[in-house]
Amino acid sequence: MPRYYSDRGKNTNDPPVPLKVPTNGQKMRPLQNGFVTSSCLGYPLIQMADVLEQTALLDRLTAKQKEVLGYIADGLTSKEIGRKLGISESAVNQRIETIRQRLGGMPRAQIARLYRRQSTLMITIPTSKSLTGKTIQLQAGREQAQAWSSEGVVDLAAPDAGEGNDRLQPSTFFSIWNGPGAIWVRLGAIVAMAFAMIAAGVLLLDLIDKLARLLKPIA
Amino acid sequence: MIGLAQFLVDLASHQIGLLAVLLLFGLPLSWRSAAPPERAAILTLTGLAAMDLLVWLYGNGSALLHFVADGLALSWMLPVALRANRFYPAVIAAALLVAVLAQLLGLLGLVRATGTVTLLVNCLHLTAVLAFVCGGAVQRQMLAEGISRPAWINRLSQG
Repeated sequence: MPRYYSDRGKNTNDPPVPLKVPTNGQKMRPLQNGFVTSSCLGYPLIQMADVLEQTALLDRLTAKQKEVLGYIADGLTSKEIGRKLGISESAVNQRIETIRQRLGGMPRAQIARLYRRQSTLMITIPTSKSLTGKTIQLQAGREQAQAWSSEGVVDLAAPDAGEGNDRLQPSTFFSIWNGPGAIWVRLGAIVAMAFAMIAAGVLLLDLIDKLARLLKPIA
Repeated sequence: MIGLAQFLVDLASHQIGLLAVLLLFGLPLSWRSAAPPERAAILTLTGLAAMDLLVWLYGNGSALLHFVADGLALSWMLPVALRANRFYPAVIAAALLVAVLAQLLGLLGLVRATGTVTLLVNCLHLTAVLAFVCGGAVQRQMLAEGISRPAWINRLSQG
């Protein structure tokens, strides 16, 4: 019987505490594939086993094909993808067709969904029925999720992203540079750089002046 | 033919004119493979080079026209620098900001040595071009490595 652990006890020596899933009076059905199903909680959840089976198909793709797939998942059109990659729209369509063939003729929208699922395994618990009162999102690599699958454990204290998540993980600098209030950060940076350039310009002019004075007696 | 040769000699003797011609022909070549911020930067720098060349040819090198050209370039580049998910547009915007300020001081007569202003402005234009070349090269490298990054910061939440 699979067990579901909360993150309590994970960082201590206490044994893991089984997670109690509130059912609001509904009868708890048997768990499928070792994962919580939608019928248990009364709202949609991703059935991870199916996702893992489908995302294994993505291993058949090359890095370039996965890049195109990433753009499709972002909702870009073939024309926009072509612009980003510096190739024509027809070339992009040809690549998409190759991807579709490798994935067994899946439609474009389904491939995009599949790619997004590979990057993010998400469990959303509405506030009214939640355990913690907020949405929980798990971002996990596929291999790690497979390990959890074999153990029949859903770890709510999900660690950092694994290999399967190839989204950009921004550094601290980029999170400040691109984060909320980025426009003010950028404006400040532009002004600071302007001052630095003025200082550099003054130093340059001073240097030229000194050189001119040095060379004047020689000339 | 002699007229063309004379024009080329005149152009070569005017370094900024030569740089402008190089930019006019060089930058549009990278247009096709460029993302929106890169295209905005190409438009800015090419437009700046074209206006600089026009001022040199027809405006007798008027300081006021140079100031207007740089001001227009700054007003176009500043929103791009604030929104684009890149660092180099900020460098270009900063360089243009200082160039505009320097020319404004020159126009107001607060800087007597006009050669100093011209030298400073030319250095800043060169800085902007170098920033674009380095930034564009980094973007191409990232694309080649398969690292996709949204073009604008307001797309980060979707990315």
